[in-house]
Amino acid sequence: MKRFARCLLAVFSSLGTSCILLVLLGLLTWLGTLEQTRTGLFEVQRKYFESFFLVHRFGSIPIPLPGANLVMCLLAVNLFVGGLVRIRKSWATFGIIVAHVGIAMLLASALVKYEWSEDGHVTLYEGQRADHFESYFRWEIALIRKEDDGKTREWLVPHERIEDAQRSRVRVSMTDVPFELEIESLARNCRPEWAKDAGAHGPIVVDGVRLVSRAVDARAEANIAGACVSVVDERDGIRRRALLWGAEAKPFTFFAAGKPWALSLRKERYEMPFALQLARFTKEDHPGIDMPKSFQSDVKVASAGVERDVKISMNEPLRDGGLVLYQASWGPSNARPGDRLFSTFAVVRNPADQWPLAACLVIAAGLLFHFVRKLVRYVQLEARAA
Amino acid sequence: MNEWMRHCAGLGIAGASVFAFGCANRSENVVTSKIETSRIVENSKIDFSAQPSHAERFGLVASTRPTHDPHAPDADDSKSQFTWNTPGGWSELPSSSMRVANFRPAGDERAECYLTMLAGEAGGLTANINRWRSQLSLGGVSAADVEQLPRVDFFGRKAVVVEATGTWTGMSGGDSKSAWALLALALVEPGGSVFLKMTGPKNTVASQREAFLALAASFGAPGQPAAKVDDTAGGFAFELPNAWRRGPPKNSRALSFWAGEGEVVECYVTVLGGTAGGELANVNRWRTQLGIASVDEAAIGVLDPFTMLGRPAHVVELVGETSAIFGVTCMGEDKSVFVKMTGPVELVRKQRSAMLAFASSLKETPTR
Repeated sequence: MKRFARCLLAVFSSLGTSCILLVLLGLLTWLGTLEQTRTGLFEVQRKYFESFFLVHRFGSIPIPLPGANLVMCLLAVNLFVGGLVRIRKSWATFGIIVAHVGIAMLLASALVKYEWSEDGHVTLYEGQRADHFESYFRWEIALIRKEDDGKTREWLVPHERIEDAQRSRVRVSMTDVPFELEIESLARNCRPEWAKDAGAHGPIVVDGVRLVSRAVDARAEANIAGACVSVVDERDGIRRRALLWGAEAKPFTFFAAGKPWALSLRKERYEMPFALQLARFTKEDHPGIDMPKSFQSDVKVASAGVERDVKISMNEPLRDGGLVLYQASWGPSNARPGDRLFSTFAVVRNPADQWPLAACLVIAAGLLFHFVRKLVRYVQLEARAA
Repeated sequence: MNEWMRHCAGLGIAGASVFAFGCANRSENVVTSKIETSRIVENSKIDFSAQPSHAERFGLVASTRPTHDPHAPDADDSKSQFTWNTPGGWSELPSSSMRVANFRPAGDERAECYLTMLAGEAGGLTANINRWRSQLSLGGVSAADVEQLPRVDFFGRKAVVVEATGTWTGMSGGDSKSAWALLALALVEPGGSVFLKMTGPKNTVASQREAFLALAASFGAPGQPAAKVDDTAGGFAFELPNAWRRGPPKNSRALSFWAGEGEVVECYVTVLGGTAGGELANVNRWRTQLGIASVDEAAIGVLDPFTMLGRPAHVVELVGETSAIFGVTCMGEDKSVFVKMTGPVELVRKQRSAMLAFASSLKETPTR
């Protein structure tokens, strides 16, 4: 048993394993990049980089491969065991160990970003203001209650719970809410239409309307989800059934327990610690053609009663309150001179935003130490030989 | 490299998945979940007072409503481009070469209702009515008798209402069903004839009479939206508020509706002969239904005045422990008309303005 453990340890800590894993990562990156010509970025990410195993089709030949998730986990173990635990500790390897610490920091920053970051966008016309940004493809069901003071209170059913409705009914209870929500069905991509009849096996018909599923678009942001949700009040036996659609113009409103309520299926929203107002959007085209040479947004950032002017351009993001706002795009794409334009900012909330910079500095310091020491020893040996 | 490394969170994802499913208990194919947190939003733009229909929320307009089954092999596109509002509980069936619109009325699967269109006078009004009567083993009627039949609006014109009860022998004469009834509208003109015909067990046809007339009134011409607002039934024309639907007919009620979402708040119109015992007696009867004390004549004098059917009326609002009654009393020597809405207090309050709008829109339109 000890022999097996030692053998396993030797395999996991070997340089050969490192090389094989790095080659596999390179292969997955190459295949994943090629796959994007046929499917969207989101699907490729899920299939190649967020999986443990996958089957890549080379023509009609299926090729099983480890997913990048598995490879990266093995690489992390390999780095920890071989590069930090089992490596000989001396001044000769000090720089290498420091560099490995830097790589471990990179891995940690990637883990934090993957697990705890939030990505989305905020789109504003000139003069418009926003205090939240929206996900590109994650959905939420918002149960909204109008309070006596005119404000609203929201309970949010997260994306993962909504997705569960593809397999079974989902019953959601909420603190301080006198009824439950039951998500009866979910379509990842659908469109509403008048129901001709209420077939026993077809989509659920409510109020003469049904949501008809469409093929899921490889571009995740192009899908419009829909759900059938019932408001179930066990106290009086009332069951209100509603269809929710991701592109609906108005939420489903109803009255319960003396309060007005609303239900809405929408893209996940994340609050920003400040309000953002687009003051002016400017776009400079290349001479003679419509292709933009540069574009930028003058925004007002208001926080804690203080307002300041900020310019966001393609290479100058706004960093504030743990968020990074990049100038992502603008529109409408077919706008003519004088038309009102909107500006879109890609927003990332990444707790490890600056960690890669620190990791690179650590790696650079370790390698610098290592190579300078090597150089000094080489010069010393040459001098002795002379 | 960094892009690759962001994907090394596999173990973390697996752990998160275990955690997530730990929060969701599966039992009997139902996943349960609890949301503990909520948040306050300062500037919501939601109009809670509006209760738009699903079609309005999704941007579907009535004129885009399909009126025929495109997969039906005998569908005749040139004829079936009409719009209508299918009554609650009714189901639409595929159309055919003869049946431009085809329905199964609520209540009994043997009942049927369909719209047919024929060129010219299709043999004439009296001949068609007598053909229907013969299907019910009844004798023919004269043109003079037909002249006496009531008329209702149908495709913007006056159609004859035909009602008959007998033993159904079917169109081929080989099918015998007793206690069968027919309710039909016949619009016969040289430019073309339209017939809407419902047959079925006598009780079913009687119970679906209002729904049938509402369906007839909802038919719109090609390119026009279904007549969704204006409605005619029970001897009244009225404007149906948004989110109101027809309720089950009852003998004592001229009209019956569900007000708002679900089948919680009920609103109905009752017509009684003479003064129906007087306004005070009726108000006290409503108070008793809510378990609150009766009042004397002085309380009637302070009721809010209202006008309904062109006559003076009163608005009555009564709130019990859990339920409420919101009504309009319109007393007369010849007859008295009551509009009464009942349900949970909050929901009744929610529908007050809609109910008053409905009551003020009521107009008497003889249907027989």
